[in-house]
Amino acid sequence: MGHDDHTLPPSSLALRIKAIETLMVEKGKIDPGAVTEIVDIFQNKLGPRIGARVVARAWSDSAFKKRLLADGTGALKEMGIGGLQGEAMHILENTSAVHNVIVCTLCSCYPWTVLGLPPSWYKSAAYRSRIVIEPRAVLAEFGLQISEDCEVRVYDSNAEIRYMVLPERPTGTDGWTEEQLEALVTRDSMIGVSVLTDVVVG
Amino acid sequence: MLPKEMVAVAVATGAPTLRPVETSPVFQVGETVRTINDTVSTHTRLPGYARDKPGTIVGYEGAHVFPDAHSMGRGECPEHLYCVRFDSKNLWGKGSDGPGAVYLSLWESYLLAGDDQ
Repeated sequence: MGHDDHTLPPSSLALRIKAIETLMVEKGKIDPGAVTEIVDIFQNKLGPRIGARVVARAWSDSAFKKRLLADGTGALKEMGIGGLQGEAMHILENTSAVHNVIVCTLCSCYPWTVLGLPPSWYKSAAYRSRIVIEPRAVLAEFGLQISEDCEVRVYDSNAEIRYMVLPERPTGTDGWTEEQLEALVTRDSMIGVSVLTDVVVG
Repeated sequence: MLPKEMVAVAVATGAPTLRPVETSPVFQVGETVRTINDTVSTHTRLPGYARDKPGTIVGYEGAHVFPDAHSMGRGECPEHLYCVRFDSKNLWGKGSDGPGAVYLSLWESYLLAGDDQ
């Protein structure tokens, strides 16, 4: 008799999480609806498209950009952005002379309000330990070569201050609308492990 | 217990750690500082790689809950928090892979007046 009707049990980690969740619900420590709500927010509502909208606005509106760089938290609030893991925000502007990149060497702190939850490599011991000591080598592994005349600034999110990188606006995008610009902005460019490709005109 | 209908509010509000304090910050932007060299077995936000290193104050963040004390159940004990720049060559010596710096947010307890004081 075949066993095709059997399903494999979930992974031990998934089982452990389920067991803990069940116990906490039974003991009245958590509201199961609240867990579903949290998952929904982080899976469906928060993410890097929010950051992309901020970047596109900064490129399009120089007064907003000025406010954003001077007081990230306040300028983001104007756009209705703020909250958990984004209570105090600094926006770091990349230029031809300065390239910024973010990390949390102590754990995995990340600007949830603008980028959502971090990619798994951001939480890896390799990224967290190496990006501070050899940022150029790590960025090269992401396919990004930084010239010797450009300074690399690594922001370690060791306190409750969160950072987002404002990437350089690609050339060939003069006159583009915010919506068009937004579509160019990638998550990795706002972490600082990549830059945006110039648009070929014509 | 956090009820379902409060989740969105909690996420949108967050948990700011900025606190009012009576004292004035000891250090000013532009000053040179040195980090303390204390090894601790309890919670700290001073990474090991930045212990006993020279840096420059580049920003002031206000006073924030001090995790070293808070994690020990000693209360929030807010302290002034600074953005401090550490040049790569000062952190890594010959291991530095080019012009650059690491920026950390450091509480006043972690900082001593710099060598040039």
